[in-house]
Amino acid sequence: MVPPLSLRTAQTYAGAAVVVGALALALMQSRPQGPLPETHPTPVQTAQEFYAGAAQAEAEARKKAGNRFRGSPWSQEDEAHNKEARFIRVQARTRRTSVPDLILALDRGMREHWSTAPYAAPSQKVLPCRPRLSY
Amino acid sequence: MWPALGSASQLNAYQDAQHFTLFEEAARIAVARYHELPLWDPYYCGGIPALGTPSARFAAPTFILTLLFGTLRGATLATFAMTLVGLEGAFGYVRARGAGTLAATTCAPVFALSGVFAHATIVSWTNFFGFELVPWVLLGARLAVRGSRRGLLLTALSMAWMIGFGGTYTAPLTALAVAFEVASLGVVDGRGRVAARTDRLAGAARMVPIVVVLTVAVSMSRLWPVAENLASSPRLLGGKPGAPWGMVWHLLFGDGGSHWGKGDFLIGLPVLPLLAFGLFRRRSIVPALGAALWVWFALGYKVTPSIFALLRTVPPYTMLRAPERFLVFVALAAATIAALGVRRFEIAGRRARRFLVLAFALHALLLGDTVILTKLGQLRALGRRMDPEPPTLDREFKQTRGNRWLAAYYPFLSRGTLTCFDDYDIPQSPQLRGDLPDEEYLKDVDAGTVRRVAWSPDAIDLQVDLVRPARVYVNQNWHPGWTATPGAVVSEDGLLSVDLPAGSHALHLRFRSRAALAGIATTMLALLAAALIAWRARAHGDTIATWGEWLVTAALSVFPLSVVPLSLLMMPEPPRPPAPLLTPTGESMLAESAPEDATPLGTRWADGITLEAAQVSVEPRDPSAERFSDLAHVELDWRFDGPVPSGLGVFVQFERAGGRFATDHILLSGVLLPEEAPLHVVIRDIGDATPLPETGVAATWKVYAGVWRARRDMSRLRIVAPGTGTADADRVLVGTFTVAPR
Repeated sequence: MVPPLSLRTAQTYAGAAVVVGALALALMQSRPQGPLPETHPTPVQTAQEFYAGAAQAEAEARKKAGNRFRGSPWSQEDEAHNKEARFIRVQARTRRTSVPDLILALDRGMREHWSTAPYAAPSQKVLPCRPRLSY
Repeated sequence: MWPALGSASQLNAYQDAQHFTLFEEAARIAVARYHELPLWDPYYCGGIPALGTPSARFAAPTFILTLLFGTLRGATLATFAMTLVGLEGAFGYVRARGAGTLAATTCAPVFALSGVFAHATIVSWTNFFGFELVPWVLLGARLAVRGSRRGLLLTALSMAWMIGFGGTYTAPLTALAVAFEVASLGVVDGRGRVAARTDRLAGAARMVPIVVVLTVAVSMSRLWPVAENLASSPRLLGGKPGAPWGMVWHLLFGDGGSHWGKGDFLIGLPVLPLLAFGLFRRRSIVPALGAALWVWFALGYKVTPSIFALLRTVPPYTMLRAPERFLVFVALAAATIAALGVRRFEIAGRRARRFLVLAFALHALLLGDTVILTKLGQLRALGRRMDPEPPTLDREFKQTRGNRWLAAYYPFLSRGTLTCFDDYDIPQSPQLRGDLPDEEYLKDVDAGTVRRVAWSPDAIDLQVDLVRPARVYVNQNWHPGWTATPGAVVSEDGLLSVDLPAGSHALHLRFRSRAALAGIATTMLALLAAALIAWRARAHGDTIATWGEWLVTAALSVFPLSVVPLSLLMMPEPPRPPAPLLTPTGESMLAESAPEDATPLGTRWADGITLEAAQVSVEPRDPSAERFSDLAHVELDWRFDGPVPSGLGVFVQFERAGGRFATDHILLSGVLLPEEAPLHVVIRDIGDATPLPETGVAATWKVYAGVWRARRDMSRLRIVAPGTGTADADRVLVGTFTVAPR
């Protein structure tokens, strides 16, 4: 004969059922909405146009960042990269491509030294991380 | 959390999400793709110790969600699971404080769904969900003081989980909360009556050392690497942070008007009447005192005296900058007091039905509060800007110049981002490059060839053929944990390099950091010890009743730490050398006297600090040399004749007619803390070049310098003798120059 459940045991089972149910629902809700993304290499001409535009934008961003964060080269570089990230997102929307594709185009352009406007070649110097004293 | 779960496989575009996601994805790649422990993270900054990264959260049980469901989906599922943990913990803690079951149930969301977690969702501070473990830690501490083995385990394992889950706030702040909880147990009895409880104090004296030792032992896989990392690269923070009274109110109860349901630490206005009722109960004295204490901390420097300012003088709390985060404990105290307020009417309801009706009304109020908190969570989740999930490209690893604002993308693309951010100065070689054809190379190209045979984050195998002895370079940062067979690992300007003799070599580079490996071994042993303590609790009863049982429990807790001295003996590892005392131009920082072309000043500040001389020069604009502005160079030549107080910094102010700006720095010449500087020699302090603004007219600039308590109250040090310099407002004129119109 099966002994009757005590109230405490029943509460424990009920609580465990609620937790398991919540986790199951969370798993269902968190499923990816579509197929996993793939990269589509940007055509070389488009990539080179993008690269030249990014290089030009970087030169301007560095100049502005120099005025905004005087005496803190790492902050200047960080600010320029913030602008670069925005530029990439905007370009990804306007060129109907993806952020990863443009990151790869930028990487390729730097390795293969694609042409840019005068004095606009992206700097290859990477300054060690020296964050500001306060934000 | 429902909207957050619906977009779980997308990437939060917020900047902090970038590096937090990168840390987790790097660990996932190491385990899932390369089947090795995540010891070294080559994807960030040119390589950093993975377990030594303070904000990484993979050393916690939730990492299994990352392995099963991927980094992005795993992060959201982890926050969901932590919320459940927090709800259960808050329920248990509030019950332990004397509340009834129903009140504990309806009050638990006041803490576990409070605004701090909604805010953490929008900015992807996943590791802030470690705060959901706070009630478990406190509950364990309450039990442990009474001699409970389960309490000991609960505190130690919850704290270890919190530490493994990363972040620089959760564990240090929770340690203070534990100290308060334990202290309160010694002076207040279970019914809230103030009375010295000598039995509890004795229990605390016996059990707290064991709790601390077991917590440290279980957490050692993270504590040691993080401590080692931050000891060599401390987090230098300045400013006088604090939240004024009005802001504290807004953070807890919303911004007023139409925003009363929005606050970064929201507990909700409906809780207020319950707090009013609860505060009249004696049992509420301790949580109310606690809430007052945490608000005092949260006020930071906005109140005098500032307890936060005092705390910031004690390591490791010197690295804190956001005192408002103490408000997370106010949420738990509020949940407790509110539950005690409802309990008062539940008990009264046994005598008169009208009190029962009132109790139900209060429960309804709490349910309303839960709706508000849930709504805030939804708003914050929907307020995020989400990017599609990045594709995964499994291919040969290379470094790129990268971008820290898009950092999360790089490991997905098998790339590292050299440009990066964290709150501390990361040891990064200036020789790292993002455009190399090969990541492992010889500078002496005629000396032979290098070919990559196999690569993983912790292990690089190379075939090296040399006609003469040469140095092989790896485009990653050096760390003392790297070993090579054959050859000798060396740091060339911080770059990972190996010296090899002539000949053909199968070179095996391995990252085997002593702190990481011995830390993991200690953690494993401590978990085994915890299992044994749990078994003894089951076999011999939960309470440690005799000194013999105490000794056995203490021995089990201490034993795992024996790995630490053993590893120090058996795993020799070179120390990280201190930064060379060189100026940015490569000259020695230390000199017998100031350079001849510097202007003598002899200005003396308090504490034996003297500015012997200074020089200011200007480099004109030259776009062909990537110099897009006129650049000012300032050299300050200091001498320290007595112990320098810690926390000082140097400010430099540029002033012209109609304009001014300031720069400041802590590290002299970018490498040396003033308090660590040698005494009685001249220390050349050459700062970074300062771009001058374009004014359209010729401008004459005056440059002033001074010393301030940059990492304390930000006040200036007093000038006691100006020497030959022109001093005013505790600063001295160090140079004047005129630039052409731009």
